[in-house]
Amino acid sequence: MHLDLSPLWISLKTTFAATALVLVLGVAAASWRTGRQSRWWEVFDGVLLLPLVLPPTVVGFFLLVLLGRNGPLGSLLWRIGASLVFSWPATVIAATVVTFPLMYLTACGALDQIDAGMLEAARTLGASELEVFLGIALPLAWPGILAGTVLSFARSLGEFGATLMLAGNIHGRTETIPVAIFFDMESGDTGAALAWASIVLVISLAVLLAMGAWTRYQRAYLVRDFARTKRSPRGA
Amino acid sequence: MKPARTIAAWCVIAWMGLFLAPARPAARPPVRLTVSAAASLKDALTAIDRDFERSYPDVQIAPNFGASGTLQLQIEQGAPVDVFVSAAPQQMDALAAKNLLLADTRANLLENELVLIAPKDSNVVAGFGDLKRAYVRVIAAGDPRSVPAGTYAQQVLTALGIYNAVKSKMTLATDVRQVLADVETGSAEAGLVYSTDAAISSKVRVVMDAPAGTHQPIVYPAAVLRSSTNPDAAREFVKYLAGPAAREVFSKYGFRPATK
Repeated sequence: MHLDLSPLWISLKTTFAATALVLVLGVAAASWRTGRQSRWWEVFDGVLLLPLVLPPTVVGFFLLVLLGRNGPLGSLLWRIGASLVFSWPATVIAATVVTFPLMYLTACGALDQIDAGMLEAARTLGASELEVFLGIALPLAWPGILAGTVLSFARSLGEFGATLMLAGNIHGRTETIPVAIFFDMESGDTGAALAWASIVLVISLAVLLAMGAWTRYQRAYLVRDFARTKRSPRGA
Repeated sequence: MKPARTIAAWCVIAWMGLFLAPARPAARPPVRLTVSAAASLKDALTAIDRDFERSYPDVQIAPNFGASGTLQLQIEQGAPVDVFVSAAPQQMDALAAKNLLLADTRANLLENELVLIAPKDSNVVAGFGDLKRAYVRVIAAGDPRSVPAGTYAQQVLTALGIYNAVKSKMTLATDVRQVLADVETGSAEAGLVYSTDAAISSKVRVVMDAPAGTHQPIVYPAAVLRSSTNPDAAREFVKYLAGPAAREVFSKYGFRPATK
């Protein structure tokens, strides 16, 4: 059986790009959000979390209306000669929007858990806000953020509804593995659908195992690091 | 020492690498046509596209397969599509009403018949009239809201005046293949499918064709869109789809080319 591998490359490219994008955006939004307590911020949260509760097809429909040539954003893009619908970046946008709530939620939770006293202590010792964030908040929140990243990766790899709406199903351009599986099944090509399903299974399993191994290594590293600083308190 | 920073750096590097990777080989043909087509045509159209590209080396076809209703919605929202091939006239009519089609480019490519089927080894159903009888407990058909074959089935039953009598025993499937499976397994005593679908199954028999005039003509229309950036090549492609070479391929895949 001949299997054209282009959906695999498109899926991987899209998933990695969307995961990286969502990691940056999600953590940035979450760190900006922590410490702001008000009813209005809960409304803000609600809006950000909508893609999690809406069916992906509906998210795709909203994106299509927003980014289509007649939509408010799409018409602006069209004026500079760009069209997002049916292009590869559309697959990344769809996956990013759908996975964003997962990253945002876990990052918010992880950042909220941090002892504010520690951050305060660093500030009194003269650390800048960026240093506090990169040197203290981020490493402490890292396990949670990592969990969010794994969730986002998995969700991105499986994204179907919104992708199909916004990016269509163009072989070699926007056809991702889930879309290929759906249409192989529709046209009765069970063999190809099964082959793609096994490929997805292998990738997902590999990512989960790699993340697990890496977390173990990370934990061991932190313990070693801690032991070393204890032995030489001045860090010499 | 700073794992987070290293990770962040690697993520950024990996992400940038994606953009450096060559997206496609160079030397691309000058004209590219995006063709939104009904998913049921996938196999036949893929073969036809290949033939067309061989005859017209300066044109490249990028097919986009999906449900006709979704494709219509995408076109209405300004998706960059050159040619639309729909599984039913309704979607094409909707686009025509919004003045989105290029004048005089619409052509009917394929036609089909709706037939009443029953399991091969059963002879309790001899015609549409039997559907009302008590021993016919389940009738399978597509959901009229989303499956064109279901819409036609509803039209036939309504025209024959038995729709209200049989409505309560109809099971509505999400596609025609599901209807076929229901009848094959005997879960339904009868079903309504296209004659091309009935022909691929050896476990069902065709009881009778839907009487002429009881439903709208079942056709697959194609047309060039007004927003096409390559209308000449797109016209050429639609002409090719209605031409003898494409008709031969469609027949090979079990479709019935339009007689007109």
